[in-house]
Amino acid sequence: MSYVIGIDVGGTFTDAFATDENGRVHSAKSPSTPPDFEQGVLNAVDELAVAAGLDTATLLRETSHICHGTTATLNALVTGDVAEVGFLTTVGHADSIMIMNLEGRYAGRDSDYVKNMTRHTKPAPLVPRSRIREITERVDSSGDVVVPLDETRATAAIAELIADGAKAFAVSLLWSFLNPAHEKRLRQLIHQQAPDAYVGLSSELSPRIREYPRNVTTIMSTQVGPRLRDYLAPLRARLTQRGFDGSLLVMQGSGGAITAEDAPARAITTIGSVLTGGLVGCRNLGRQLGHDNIISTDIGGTTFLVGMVVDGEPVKSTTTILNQYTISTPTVKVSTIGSGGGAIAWLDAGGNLRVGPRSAGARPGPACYGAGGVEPTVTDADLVLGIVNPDNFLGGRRKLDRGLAEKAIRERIGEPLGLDVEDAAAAIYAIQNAQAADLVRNVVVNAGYDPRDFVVYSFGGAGPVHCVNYSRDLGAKAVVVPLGATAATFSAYGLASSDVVLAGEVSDPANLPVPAESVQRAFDGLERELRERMDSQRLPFSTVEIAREVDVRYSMQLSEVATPVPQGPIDDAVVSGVADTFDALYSKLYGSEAGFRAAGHQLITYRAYATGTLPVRSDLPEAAVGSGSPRPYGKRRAFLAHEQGWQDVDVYHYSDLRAGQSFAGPAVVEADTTTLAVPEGTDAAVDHLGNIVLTHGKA
Amino acid sequence: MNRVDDNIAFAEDGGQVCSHCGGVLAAVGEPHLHRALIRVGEVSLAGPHVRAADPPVVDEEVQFRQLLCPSCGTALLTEIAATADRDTRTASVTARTSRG
Amino acid sequence: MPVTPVPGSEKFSYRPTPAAQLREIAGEHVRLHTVDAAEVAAVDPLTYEVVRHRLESITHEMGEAIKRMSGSVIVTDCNDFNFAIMDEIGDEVEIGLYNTALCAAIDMAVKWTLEHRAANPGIKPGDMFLCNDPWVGGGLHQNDTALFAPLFVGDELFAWTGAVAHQIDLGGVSPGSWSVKSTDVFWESLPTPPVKIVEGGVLRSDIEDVWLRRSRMPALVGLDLRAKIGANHMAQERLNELVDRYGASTVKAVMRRILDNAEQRVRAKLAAIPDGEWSAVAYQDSAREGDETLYRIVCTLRKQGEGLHFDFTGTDPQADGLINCTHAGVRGGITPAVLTALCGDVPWAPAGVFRCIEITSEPGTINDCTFPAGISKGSVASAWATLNVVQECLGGMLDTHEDSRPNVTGVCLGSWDLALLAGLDQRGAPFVSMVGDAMAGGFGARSDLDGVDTGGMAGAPMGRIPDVEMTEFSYPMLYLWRREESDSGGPGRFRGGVGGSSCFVLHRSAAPAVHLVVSGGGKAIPQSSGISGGYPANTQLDLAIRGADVRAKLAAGHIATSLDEIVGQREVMPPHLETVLGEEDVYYMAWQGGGGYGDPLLRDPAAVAADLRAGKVTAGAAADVYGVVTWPGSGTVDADGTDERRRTLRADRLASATPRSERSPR
Repeated sequence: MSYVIGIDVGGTFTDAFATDENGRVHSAKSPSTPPDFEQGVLNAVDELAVAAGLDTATLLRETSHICHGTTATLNALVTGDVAEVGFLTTVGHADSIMIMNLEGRYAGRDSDYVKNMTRHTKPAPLVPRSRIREITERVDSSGDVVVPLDETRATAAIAELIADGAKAFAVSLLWSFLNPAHEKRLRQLIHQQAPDAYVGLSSELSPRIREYPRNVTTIMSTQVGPRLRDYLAPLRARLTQRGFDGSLLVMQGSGGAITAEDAPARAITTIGSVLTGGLVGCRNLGRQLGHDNIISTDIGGTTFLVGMVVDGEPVKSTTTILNQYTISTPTVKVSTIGSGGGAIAWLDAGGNLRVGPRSAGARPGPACYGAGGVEPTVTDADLVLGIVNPDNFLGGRRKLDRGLAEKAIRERIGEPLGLDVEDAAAAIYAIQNAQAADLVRNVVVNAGYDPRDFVVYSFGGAGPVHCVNYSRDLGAKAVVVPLGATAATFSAYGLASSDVVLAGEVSDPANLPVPAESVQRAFDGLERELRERMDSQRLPFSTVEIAREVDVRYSMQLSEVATPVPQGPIDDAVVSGVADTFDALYSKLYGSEAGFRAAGHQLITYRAYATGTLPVRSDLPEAAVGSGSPRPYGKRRAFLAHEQGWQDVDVYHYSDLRAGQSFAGPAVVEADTTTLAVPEGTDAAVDHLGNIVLTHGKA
Repeated sequence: MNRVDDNIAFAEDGGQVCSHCGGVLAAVGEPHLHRALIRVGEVSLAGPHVRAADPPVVDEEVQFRQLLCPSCGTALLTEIAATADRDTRTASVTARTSRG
Repeated sequence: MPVTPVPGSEKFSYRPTPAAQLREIAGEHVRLHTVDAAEVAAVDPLTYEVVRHRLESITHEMGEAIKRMSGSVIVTDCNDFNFAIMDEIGDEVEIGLYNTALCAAIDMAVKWTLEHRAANPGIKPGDMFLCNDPWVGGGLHQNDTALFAPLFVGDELFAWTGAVAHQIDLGGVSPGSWSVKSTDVFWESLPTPPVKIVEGGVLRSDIEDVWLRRSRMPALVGLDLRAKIGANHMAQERLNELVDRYGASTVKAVMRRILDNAEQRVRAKLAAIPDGEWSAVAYQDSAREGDETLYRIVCTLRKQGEGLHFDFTGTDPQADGLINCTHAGVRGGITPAVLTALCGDVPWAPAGVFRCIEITSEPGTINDCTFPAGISKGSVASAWATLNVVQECLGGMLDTHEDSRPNVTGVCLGSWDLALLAGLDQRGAPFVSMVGDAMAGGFGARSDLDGVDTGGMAGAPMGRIPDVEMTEFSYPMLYLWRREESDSGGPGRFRGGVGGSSCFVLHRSAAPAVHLVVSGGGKAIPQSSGISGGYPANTQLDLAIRGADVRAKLAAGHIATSLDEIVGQREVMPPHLETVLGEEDVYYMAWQGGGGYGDPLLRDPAAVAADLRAGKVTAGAAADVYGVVTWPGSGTVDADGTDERRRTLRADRLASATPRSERSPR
């Protein structure tokens, strides 16, 4: 028997998911154990073994790999619990990380922050000035050395940093991606004085033009590399002690995994991993359901995350923002657009009803949690509207107090607006739905797509409560609520079913026409590097595939579009074909009138992804089959949509539903992990995997 | 009571006083900062970052000007202005007690 | 020689006509949709919030679309553009978070069009109008090109959408369309009053040709034209969906409520602030190359109860040069300051906010000039200086009350330091480029926080400067440095944000020299004033070092890290100059920081010590301006030494001061 395990370490819970060669799946949930998350991981594995009816040693012995999504790197950066890093950079340019291209004043912040300009601040410098040393050297835009590396001064600078307590060194010099010699030499000089020092070179971590995000990427990766190493090594050891003999993988923000041995050297790539599991889960589930274009909406208690799958692949961004810093690492693009079920309903100074962006979070949480929260939240409205069942919320794990919800809504919203509690709750619900639709739409449209071409997947505790309403506003074709075997641990499922993906890139900006040989050379170099790294993962891949792309732009424009490059040798026709593909992509994303070839094309950065597929994969198991319509276990009065208002609605236990059955709204489905509202006019069908698929009925 | 700014508060009778030392800056009925002292000089008094243009770029004299509390010397207004311009910056604020 | 007025140009000098009157005039030729007070009152809180959020969302989407579609770095990076949704009479209901000054002009163009184009050629469904005449509105100087469109529901004109963006070149004597020698508008790009460029949904090729014919870069300007047309189309599609869903009356009622709301919120804030009057002056040095006059924009802000009155009486008459701005510029100087000071948590509905504002400004003054005064730099000269003086006055007002005090800010980046290069790049192709680094100016200090270092400029909440590597890839330049400049932030109890400097040489240009246009004020008098005793930020400094030894030093392995290390002939740049930069020359530009707040002798000594460690201030300033003494080894504060130093400095101040009343009146 061969298992594959996915472990998703969240702030509150650690989820584990196992699948075996026969398509059986098991899942488990265990509280996370910050600040040392390791114990929570081991606990989750134990619970998983129980769910599988095995002892831990047997489960681990038969596991070929564990893919682990960690929040450790993100937490370290957010809390500042990072290694003491010395930063070496080209003389005259140390201030790049202070200036932050000025966008660091607002990057990643919402429009409420942006408008409040008198209160803007930049974050604290990544590295204090005392830990920065400027190095006398200079390379130019052709990769030529204008000023050679002054080794004497560099050696002295390194000595100072070591004396000052620096344990790790980030090195980022201008144009090093064209000529890394000086960076490599600096690493040697550092190791001469401090053989055990952790050194990150920008030419290895992020050989991409634009020195500000490259500096940030190099520094942050260096800050967390040692932490990640110190987390993964003992974890690996303890798993081995317990009988694990397979590979430990770490999820990256790019949507693929990397071995735990390799991860610390490129720690920054793991930064988005806490967000990627859900999106990868959507991609994998989508493959089984035949959905290539998916809008993933993950609404939990504290966050509302949106991502996209297009043509069967998660949409990636070549940069990501953390704490107002721009990082140049390809990550799946997951946007945080709001605060989920804990979003607070409030009245602004003009007496207008607003929902969010402030959140009651997990603590104190919604008023109905009875944990001290007094402000009304979306979840409180959902309760008052009869959608969620106070005695069966999240499988009964939490009892909700309806009286507290009503009190909060009445006092804070109803009375000031002259509305009764139910009308106030209905208003909160409707605003949340409309706002969610707007925000999701913005993400989709600003990425250049039309929501009407997509299916929405909705998961997370609070997603399915609202999904039909916000998806209808978006014009999406259908909504899928994953509720089969993966429901409780959807992200962990994504991890368990992911491939190993390594990315390599190098910038070599040039105006077209670019000689085909130089493009070939760039890709050959990337491919060589990637195959070497794939080999060193020491995993029994069934296939290794390389996909290539190049960032192209029209001269004079802001940013590039990643344009696919076909397989096979590269000649002039291929290069010119890339420009054509870019024109078509650009036109599709930004409108046909916008294209402008005469401005000239530039190739900026070459990128390749190596995907190693792992041999143990299984499809999700089929759910138990039934026929006709399922039987509701009861009815209750609920408000599911504005158009119909209060109605008596059928209430189903999810566990009573069978694959192949269908029913129509108005209805509510209660599941262990979430609640689904099906308004009138929406048809629901249970698919062969146990997911519920919702479509608009005949008008 | 509200105030005029970081340095200028209102006395009980509505006159202006220095919020740091209590020194009288203007009695009731007197113009804004009537009793302040004024210090003028080369623009470099503003600090190493303010340089007299060399060669000059305008055909007028400019100077550093600072209004001071006569008791404690706190800077009430600091500016670089044309020497020929007086009363470049003034204020006149209604004294008011704060709301509950 | 003073500009001679041009008879016949009066019709283009616009000041927004009051709503009732405008409705009457335009209503004769086009049916305007409206709602009554009862319909406005009937909107329930839910519908209001849903529709409001949708309108905001549409505006955001349009702004992002323009940014993606534009070919102009000034749009994409400097964010010198914006988008607005207006009601049937051109009142702005929602604007984007880009260049907010422009939104003080786009409504003017729409209103003028309603008055002057409704009869002939008419305003019909599918029409779009183009305007780059700042006397009419649309923008603050000729580069700002507005493209606005009426939205009809049935046969009634329901709303307007409008996009405006700075175009890279629209003709005139010099590349980039501002000539530093300009004495009047005839040196500059031709202002074009509203013309119907899209008729019944079809872009008219003849008018497009006329428009593009004036430009040195017609391809890029054409690209931007299409971007703006596209954005207007998209916005109108979305608005139509909204109207289909909720009905025209409801959507219009929400628009009215948004305006009322903004007005009420601003009035409520003003009511809480003490009444008073604050006045300040903004200086500008030189109106054009060779001019040595100092110019003043004077502003007195009067707040009575719930209204603001900006009175610019005392402002200098318009100048023979390029720095004047039209009435759109007065409004454009007020709008960003008011939005940031009072509307951080209020909808950005300028028409509602402006109901609280009265403006007294005399035509023929430098920031309210008459035709044909030169205005090609107006947006970043007199309009910018207007913003400075308004910000200073507002800062004084907000400082009086604890609720409003958090929004006080000293003046940010007092002026735009322009360096425009034109020549052949390293690949032999012609280029024109503005050095964008100077946008990273210091923000003014707050009453409780320092100003943001290298934060940007006051008129644009977002924006960015390019990476050095992108600049070196695109243009034949090599940077010796780009950095923050110590001491450039105005000293104060809270320090103004520092500005920065760039120092570069020509590198591998296919030609031995490039054309350089310099235009930057703040050299005689720093333009980022301090507040509440706070000191101003730095004077701006631009200089070339001719025949410098930099290349020899680079070859010998040495990179200069200060101007003193560079041997050559220093040429300090005046406020305006056209010159060249050769292979043996070095160019240095140091732009401004933000003004300080409060007396620097009151700054927490530990903060000064931290500033020293972080390189924000030098030892000299720490000792002489802030009066702080630190221990040589550790850099920690010597408390006793500081107390004594500060006592001495105060005594020195008093010793050299005289009573105010002894100075002769002006």
